[in-house]
Amino acid sequence: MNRIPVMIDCDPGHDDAIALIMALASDKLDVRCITTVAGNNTLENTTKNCLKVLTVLGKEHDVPVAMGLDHPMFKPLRISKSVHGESGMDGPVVPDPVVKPVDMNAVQLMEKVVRESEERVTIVPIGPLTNVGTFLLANPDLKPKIERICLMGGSSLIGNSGSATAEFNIFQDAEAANVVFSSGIPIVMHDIESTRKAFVEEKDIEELRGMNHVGKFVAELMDFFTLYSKQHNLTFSIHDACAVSWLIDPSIFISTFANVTVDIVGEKTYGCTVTDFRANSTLPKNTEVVLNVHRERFVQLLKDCVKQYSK
Amino acid sequence: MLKEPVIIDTDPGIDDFMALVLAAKCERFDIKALTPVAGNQVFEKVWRNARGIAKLLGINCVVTKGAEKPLILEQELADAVHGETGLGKLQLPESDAPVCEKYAWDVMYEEAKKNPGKLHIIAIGPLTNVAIAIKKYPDIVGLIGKLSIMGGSAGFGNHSPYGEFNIWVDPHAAAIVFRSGLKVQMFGMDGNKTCQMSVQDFHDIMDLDCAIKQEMNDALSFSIEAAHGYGAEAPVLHDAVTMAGIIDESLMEFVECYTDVEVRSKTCFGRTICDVRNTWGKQPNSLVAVKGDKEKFKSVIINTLKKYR
Repeated sequence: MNRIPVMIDCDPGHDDAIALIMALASDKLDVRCITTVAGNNTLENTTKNCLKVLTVLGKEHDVPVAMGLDHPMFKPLRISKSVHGESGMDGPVVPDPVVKPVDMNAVQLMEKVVRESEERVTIVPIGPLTNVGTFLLANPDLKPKIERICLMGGSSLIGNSGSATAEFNIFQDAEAANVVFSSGIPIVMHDIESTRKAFVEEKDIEELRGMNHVGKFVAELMDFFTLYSKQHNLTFSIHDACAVSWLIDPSIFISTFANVTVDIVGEKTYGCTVTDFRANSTLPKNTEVVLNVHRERFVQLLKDCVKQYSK
Repeated sequence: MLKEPVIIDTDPGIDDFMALVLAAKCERFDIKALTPVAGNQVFEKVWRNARGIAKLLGINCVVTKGAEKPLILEQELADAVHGETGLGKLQLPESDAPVCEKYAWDVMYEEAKKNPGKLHIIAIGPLTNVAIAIKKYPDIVGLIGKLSIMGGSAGFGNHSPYGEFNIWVDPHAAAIVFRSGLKVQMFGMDGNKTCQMSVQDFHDIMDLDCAIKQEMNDALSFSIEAAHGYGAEAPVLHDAVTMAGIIDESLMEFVECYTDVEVRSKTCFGRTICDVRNTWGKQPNSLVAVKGDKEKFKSVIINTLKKYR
């Protein structure tokens, strides 16, 4: 079977790290490049964290990593240390990575990968959409070569970003998100309502811890990541891993098609992914909106991916 | 004399045509590229116009591909002012130059890298191409020598109460440019209006014998009629004033201030807010042209036309 060529744009981030671990373990996916963006933390830190993850996996020479944009299109970066800690990926103690990002920026690397690819490429954005939006603006001729954009972000109803209506990744750069959603490229949206349902339990974390060195790393990520969830009475959800899991096995998710646009002007609704579920809506259904997750199968997939690193 | 490398980002447009007439004969300029952008007319048309103008005026440079719509909004045209083709009654020769497949932003970056600190980008349409260059290549900000734009207003607008057309069509692009760290030389409504010529001035220009007399008349007569249509005595040739102000640096007076662009308000959408009193206490990022010398503007045009022999 042909592997799906993917480019992952991320801001590690605990759940980003787990998404990367799954993507690089799966024989369904061919990760052509990883690009970093400012989001959960500064670009410098998200890039460092990304390279740390690759180093833990022993894959630091396998995939090119490029640094992207260091702030959203129209405003300064606001990072969330409460969820991911000072470094953006607090918890596991990992030495500083030796490997460096490639000598071109994220937008240039994406362009190169897509141009050189014979097949259409899938973009997997799991941070703010600044890099992907810029890539689409700068390369209108490459849009037909993008298979789909499978992203973690958005909220059709309840936000999580200090805004009642917007999810963090979209809220960080709603203008870039607007560019992505209006691009005409098919989108799969793992919004925050659905990704909340993709959670692990304490016993899953302990099982992973005992599995191998990568499982231990995942468990240590979760040890820190769950502190915030416990404080706020939330599930231990691994949001970003959903976007990667869908590509490996879409049958784990339940979804429907709808028109989604991103609000960029509302006083209360800036960053809301306005999802038109009305039966009589005539707007083009540009987005596959994920509604639910078969949680146990999701957790099993995570464990299966981590097991790959025992070999 | 070492010439100034120049890229002209344009959406021709009758006043763009006039600006290019001036630029083509400016000995100081080494025009590296024309980078069309959707604005006054749809991209296909402004691209064809730019190529035709280059051929007519003998501007020997590439005409790139560029943005076909604003960054986020849908495109709005100024076809009432510039007509169906974008150039009034002017018929241009069909260009036989090879088609350049490169994008505006890539060529801007290439030239900026080749001429660090020297490249002058003169943007007389919506700022979409320039904004994409800044976002795709953040380091271009340190490489560009100078950025001059036609757009914006410290006072009133021409497309909404405060919105000037070029900024109003793509305020997001303008916001990126003004927030980029570049110092923007801004030729907006304020200074340009002070260079509004009378109908008599136009006739002085149109009657002048030169190799492009017919083309000038076809373009400008449409523009004058259109101005009468919207209740003005004569048009303000915004892009041409801008180019003249760059060619003759004594033409305009400038105020240095911090300028930002409103991208959300319903009523003030697309307004350039020039903080001339420095109430925000920010470092100036713009030189705003506030007052020009109409007679000097007219002289630049007449002196240039005399070179078309």
